[in-house]
Amino acid sequence: MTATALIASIIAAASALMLAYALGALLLPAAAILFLGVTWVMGQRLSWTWLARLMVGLFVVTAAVGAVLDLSTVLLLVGLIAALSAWHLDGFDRQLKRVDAVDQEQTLQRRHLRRLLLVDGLGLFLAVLALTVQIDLSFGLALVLGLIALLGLSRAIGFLRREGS
Amino acid sequence: MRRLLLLGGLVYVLLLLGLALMSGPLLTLTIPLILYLVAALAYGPGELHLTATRSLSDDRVPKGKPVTVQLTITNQGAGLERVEIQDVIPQQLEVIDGESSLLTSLAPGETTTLTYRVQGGRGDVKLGTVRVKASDELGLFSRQAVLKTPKRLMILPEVMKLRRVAIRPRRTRAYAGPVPARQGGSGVEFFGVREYQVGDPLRWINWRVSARHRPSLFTNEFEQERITDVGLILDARRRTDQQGRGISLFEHGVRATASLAAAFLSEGNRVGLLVYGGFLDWTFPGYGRIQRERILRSLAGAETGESRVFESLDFIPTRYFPAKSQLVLISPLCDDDVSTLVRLRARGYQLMVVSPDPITFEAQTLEPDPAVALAVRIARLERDLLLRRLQRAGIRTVDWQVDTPFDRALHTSLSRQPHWFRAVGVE
Repeated sequence: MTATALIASIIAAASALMLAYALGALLLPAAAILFLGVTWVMGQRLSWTWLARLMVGLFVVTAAVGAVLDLSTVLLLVGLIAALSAWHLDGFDRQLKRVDAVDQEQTLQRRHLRRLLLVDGLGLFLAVLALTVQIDLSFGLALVLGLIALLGLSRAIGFLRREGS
Repeated sequence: MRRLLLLGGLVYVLLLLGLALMSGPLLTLTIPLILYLVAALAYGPGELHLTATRSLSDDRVPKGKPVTVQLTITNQGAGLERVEIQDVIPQQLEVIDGESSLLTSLAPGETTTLTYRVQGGRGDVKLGTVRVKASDELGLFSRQAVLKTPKRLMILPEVMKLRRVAIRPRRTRAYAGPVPARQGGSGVEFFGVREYQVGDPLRWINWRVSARHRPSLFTNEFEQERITDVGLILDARRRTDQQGRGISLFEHGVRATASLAAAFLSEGNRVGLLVYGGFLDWTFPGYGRIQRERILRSLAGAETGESRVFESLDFIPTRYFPAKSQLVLISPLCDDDVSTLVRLRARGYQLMVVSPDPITFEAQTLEPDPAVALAVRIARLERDLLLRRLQRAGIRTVDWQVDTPFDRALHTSLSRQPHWFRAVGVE
């Protein structure tokens, strides 16, 4: 179940980003994304454990470049979320393979996919909402809000690292 | 943790870029990433309060016999969505059945059990480390714990059944046993003739001698048979060990020692064991099945070692062994061991050397080659010379090619008794 979802996520990520670039008449980058997607799927088959980390980074960068180039944000969002899901599912799949036994495997996998879909759906919804709702901010306010966001994020990551160790 | 850092780093870069370029869509892309972080934080595991207990189906087994390990983990804290439990298996053991790691979820108070069977080679195996990793469903935020459930598993060496090993120390103990005591009395073997004493059975009178020395009467004496002290010395010096295909020469030495100990103890003798290697591991002499168990446990944990002090056999502590008792050294031998062994013999110990042959053992691991054949021939000559020097000093030697059964090698060597051994009373 997880392996199928993983491949589906990779295909969805590559397709969405490729479509976004193709609609923007950028065919060469679209072909490059197709190549990345195929490589990722092949890498999964060949159990290249390091590949998912690299690919999620490349897909996020691709989505970011697409956003700068003013391509379809919804498609970029779908591609980014699918890439994140694929990266995450890759970790889960490896964990399933690493252990000798999984207690109530079907239930565990189903619950896990449900949680992932929830987070993905909520992320997409909030992002689309953010695109839809337009608020005019002065530069100063935007800067202050940005700084608060960065500071908050730094604190959150610091907290997570402390807790994690 | 690395996953968390990667995600955090991506969010950070996208936010900075979005702010720098004043790009709304770029900032929007960070929302799903931030949501991942928030979800991980919200559903992340709290403090781990887990307890582990371990039970073994047997804590001492002979080599090759499987042992069932049961590990029970109880969650005494908050619920854990995803827990990976990994029981760390020592290198000596191999899981042959069941699971030693598990991915599960644990509700408060819930218990999960891992059951598996292991088997392994000789050793004193310490089981006890359980790694637990609890994480949120997204696998971003995790907590790890190491639980200790110490248990010892003794995998005893193989004990080969031996026929009676003939020994003849100069001093025996007071109790009746199978070892000739070099003293006249009641027994089986003829020992000598002495003048008749009141109370001697009439059928013991030697009429032929009495007829020659009339009017005195002479009676036959028989050699008393008693138990004795046997000191086993296992050579565990790394320099004398050889590594073969999957097994070391030392393992054969351990098997031989275990078999000899069992054979001597079954005859009622008092047996002690000294493992001489990186340090001295001394098992005080004793009798019977308890002593057999002590020796086997000591041998289970025996390992080769290196020490500058115990590099040669010069420091065998003779005070451990009763004077004039029987010593059995199990060693592949080095050239410089001869002088020490001759010295022990000169002190009055009756010495037997069981020597697993390192040359044949090592030659089997080498590719056939004229140079190798020549080297083997030279090494064999040197070894024969070494063994002959020991024999000339009155030390009995058993040159054991380890691919032949030990019992056969032992009795083939010991059946060719030297003249000094056959002669009664010769010391």
